[in-house]
Amino acid sequence: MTAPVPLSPEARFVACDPELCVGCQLCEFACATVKDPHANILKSRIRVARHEPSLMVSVACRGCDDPACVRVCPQEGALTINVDNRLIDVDNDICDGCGWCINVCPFGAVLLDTDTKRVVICDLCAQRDNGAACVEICPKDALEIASIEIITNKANGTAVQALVKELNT
Amino acid sequence: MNGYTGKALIVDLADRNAIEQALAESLLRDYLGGAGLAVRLLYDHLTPGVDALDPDNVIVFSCGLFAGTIVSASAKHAVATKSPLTGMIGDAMAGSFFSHTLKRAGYDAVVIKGKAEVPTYLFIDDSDVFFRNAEAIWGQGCFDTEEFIREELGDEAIRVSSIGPAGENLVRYACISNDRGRQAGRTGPGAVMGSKNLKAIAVRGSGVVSVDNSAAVYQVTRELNTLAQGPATGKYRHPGTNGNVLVLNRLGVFPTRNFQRTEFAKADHISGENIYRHYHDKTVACAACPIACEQIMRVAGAEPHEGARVSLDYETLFALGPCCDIDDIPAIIRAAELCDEFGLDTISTGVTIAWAMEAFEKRLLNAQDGFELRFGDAEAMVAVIPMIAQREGLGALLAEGSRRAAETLGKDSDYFAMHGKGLEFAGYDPRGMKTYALGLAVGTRGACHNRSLAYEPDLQGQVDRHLAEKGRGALAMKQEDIAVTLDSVGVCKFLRGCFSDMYEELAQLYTNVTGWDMNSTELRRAGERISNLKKLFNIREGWTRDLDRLPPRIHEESVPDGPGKNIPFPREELEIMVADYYEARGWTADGRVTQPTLDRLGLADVPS
Repeated sequence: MTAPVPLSPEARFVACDPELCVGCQLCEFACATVKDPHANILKSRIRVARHEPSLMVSVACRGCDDPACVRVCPQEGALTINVDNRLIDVDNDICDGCGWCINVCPFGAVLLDTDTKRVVICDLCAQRDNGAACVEICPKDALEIASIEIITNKANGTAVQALVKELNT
Repeated sequence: MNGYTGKALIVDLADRNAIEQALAESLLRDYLGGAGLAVRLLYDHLTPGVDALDPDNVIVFSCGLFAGTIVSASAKHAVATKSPLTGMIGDAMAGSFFSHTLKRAGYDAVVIKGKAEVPTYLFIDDSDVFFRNAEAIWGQGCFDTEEFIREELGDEAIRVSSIGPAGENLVRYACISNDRGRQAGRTGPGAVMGSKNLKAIAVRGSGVVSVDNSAAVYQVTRELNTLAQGPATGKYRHPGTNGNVLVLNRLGVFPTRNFQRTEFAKADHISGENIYRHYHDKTVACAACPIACEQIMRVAGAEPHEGARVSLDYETLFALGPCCDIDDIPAIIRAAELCDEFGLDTISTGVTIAWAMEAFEKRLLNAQDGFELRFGDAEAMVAVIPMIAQREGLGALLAEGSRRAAETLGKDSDYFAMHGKGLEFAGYDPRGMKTYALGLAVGTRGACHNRSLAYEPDLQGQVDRHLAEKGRGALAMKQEDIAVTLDSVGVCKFLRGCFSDMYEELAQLYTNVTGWDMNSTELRRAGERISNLKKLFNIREGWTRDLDRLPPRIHEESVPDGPGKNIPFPREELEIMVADYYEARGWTADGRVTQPTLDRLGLADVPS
């Protein structure tokens, strides 16, 4: 059994509510539209995991406390922790696309831009006026920018609701 | 090229050969994509007059024009072949991710010919094509087949369209399943794949579908997505299309007991709202869809159908439920799951079973090895589904569909075989919806609600739905052309209520996606052209005027229940509307396409 990955309590990341996610992939399309001139969906920093029939959830960088991607990177300074949101900054001049970070990310949230041969990671659309495009487009309000504390509380709430429902039936 | 890839893959299963065919801009503009492109490629590649299950039949998969882009609810692909159920054009649509993936692999369409020597599945790995042995999965269901192939090829992102045992055993209404639970459902394309020893098509697509004006497309998509959370799609989101039950029951057009009645006593029990409340498990969307209509239902704590879990929509519910006089929800969910797993079209399955139930009721059919089908017998209905897929016992007769089954049985059982051109009716009674009745009668793929869309003016109160009158011809034509345009650009019909000027808005999207000028007039003409091409296909395959009709029951028995009770629908009334429709189309009085119409629509190059 793999040990759980500790997330940084300060990190803010795109969190998906699996109860609301319908697996439509619009978040991937929106991300690709913002990040790539051809809207190539392979450039999306967020990925939907569809486990049909009933589990859908999208995942982007979650801000690990001690990020494995940074630890393993053999190119000093290519990946650094963003001081504002605890996500990862990629220095395109140093990164050479070797892929060690892709290999170790427990969330599959590090991706390779096949044109630039540099890795890409969610940056919460920091440079965009309207904020994260994926959150903006999500038709079911399944996505939000949240911290681990917020989603833990939310998950606990969901569990309690489920319990109450079960006791009432 | 933007939006399109400009290429079709032409596959010969006998020679294990695949070549690329360039698709010219003029062809793509004229036929748009999806259903339009599929029908045109089929028309050009198929030798007229071959049997639908002959190796020489051709099956075409074609991506919607917007597939692979962010455009809202644009994930449709079309499958076109000569139908083994109707002998006419068989064009089916399916949603989810297959279309996007095929486009990203580099193809607007795949044309498949010939018959593989042994069970085979096709693996389109971007520009590489592999013919892989499928003997290990021959006999397996659609869900297992998908999982097997993804595992064998080692990539979760691979999308699979496959057939189940029903397709292998040439059940005439076998479907093709993709993304676990989406189907190119009607007219039996699964049987054509089966006849070709083609178990599945697996696709890995890692390319780009580039868009000319990405910012504009993004903006329009956001606006459509917002509208798609409003009243125009309310029913689809909650409780799903099953919300039709109470509406149609109130209008007295809810077919029950094989269209003997049009109200169902247990409608409240099987209402969409009630089923959602007690069985809803998860809501799922196709690619880039803001609506999310697919409602997965699950049976929990109710033997013997414990654990059944499947997407349940209105047509499936109607066919396996009230049409068979069944109100046992867990059994209906189980039956739907079995149909999906075995690869059967749920509408044709349910309506053919209902025909058999009526034949037993009238003592025209007798128990075989102690097995019989009775109205209301949910367990027998569930039990007969695998028999149909495997062509065992009574299933062998029912696997032929209601038209052929009635021909085989004789004894005037065609009186209550509820089909048009061999395609079984969907869940609306045409006696209380006269525009829809016309749409069913003249439909090129048979009696199909989805191709005709002619129920819309009836149900929205645009016309007096009980009245058969002149003018319905133009209306039915208008609705058909809207449907075929959506089927060709690949936008889901459930989004149509979000457009205020559909042709104009789609033309603008077309321009923004492809970079080619398009306007609403040209787009509308493309829809009309494709509708006419389907008709030309049918004429080439031997269509005759007397096929544009409805079963005797519709004319012999007045509306049995509801607000329209006792209103008759004599055959002459239908004939008046059919003649009106031919005239609106610019066809001859006996329903043939005229030279001026061919010239006007740019169809003069089509070989007859």
